[in-house]
Amino acid sequence: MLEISERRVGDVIILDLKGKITIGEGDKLLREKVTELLEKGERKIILNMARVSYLDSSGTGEVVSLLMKVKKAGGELKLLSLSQKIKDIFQIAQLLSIFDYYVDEEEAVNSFSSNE
Amino acid sequence: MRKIGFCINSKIELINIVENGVEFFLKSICKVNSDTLYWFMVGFHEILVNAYLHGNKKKEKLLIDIAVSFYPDKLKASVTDRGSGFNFKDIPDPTKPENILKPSGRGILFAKNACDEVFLKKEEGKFTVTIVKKLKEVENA
Repeated sequence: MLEISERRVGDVIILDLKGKITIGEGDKLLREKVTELLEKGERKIILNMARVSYLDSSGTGEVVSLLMKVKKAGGELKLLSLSQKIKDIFQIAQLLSIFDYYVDEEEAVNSFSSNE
Repeated sequence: MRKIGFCINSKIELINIVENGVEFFLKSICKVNSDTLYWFMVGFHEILVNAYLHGNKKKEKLLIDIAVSFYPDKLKASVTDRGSGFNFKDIPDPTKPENILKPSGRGILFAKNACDEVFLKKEEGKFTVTIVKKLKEVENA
């Protein structure tokens, strides 16, 4: 089960995720949420993963797909507060290098403006 | 040795129930430490999902057999589907540059990294994937 809360900091949307991003539930919900944001014109999105307890191979694939989808739409998707275990999961798939990820929320938010 | 087993139809909700049952069995009855349990469950989840998606191709009527054993020195899980199976060498390496951005194909990689051993066994009309995770001595002291 995945819960998603949305909040805005300036022109950045932060999605606070809680629970599991796994096949059949979390992955679909997250895809729908990010797609909805893109349709609304949002282009700066942060996934706050501080309270994500587990990410399976389907969830990992979904996060990769979303990264590509947001990029294709001319936006950026960044990750915030990866726990050591979630970082290990991304590391197994050798995906850490393709993501921009941050420990500090303010730094993550400011990283968008610094790219402009 | 302690053992728990299930036979389920290929349905994601049933997979979730099995995972919850196995987690309870290993955590509350076998007292496996949380770190070992986490990584064993990563591997277990992936081989279950593999049986559901690729073995039985989401055909609900096809069965998945599951056996999980707790030994003094290791955890072992076997998942049997009704598919034709696969070989490790036939699975594209998902960490290669040409595959790294693909949305799928990482399940067996996760199982291999989360556990110490992964075995495959093909029999008439069924295919079994077995994972083994060794327990550290301190866990059973």
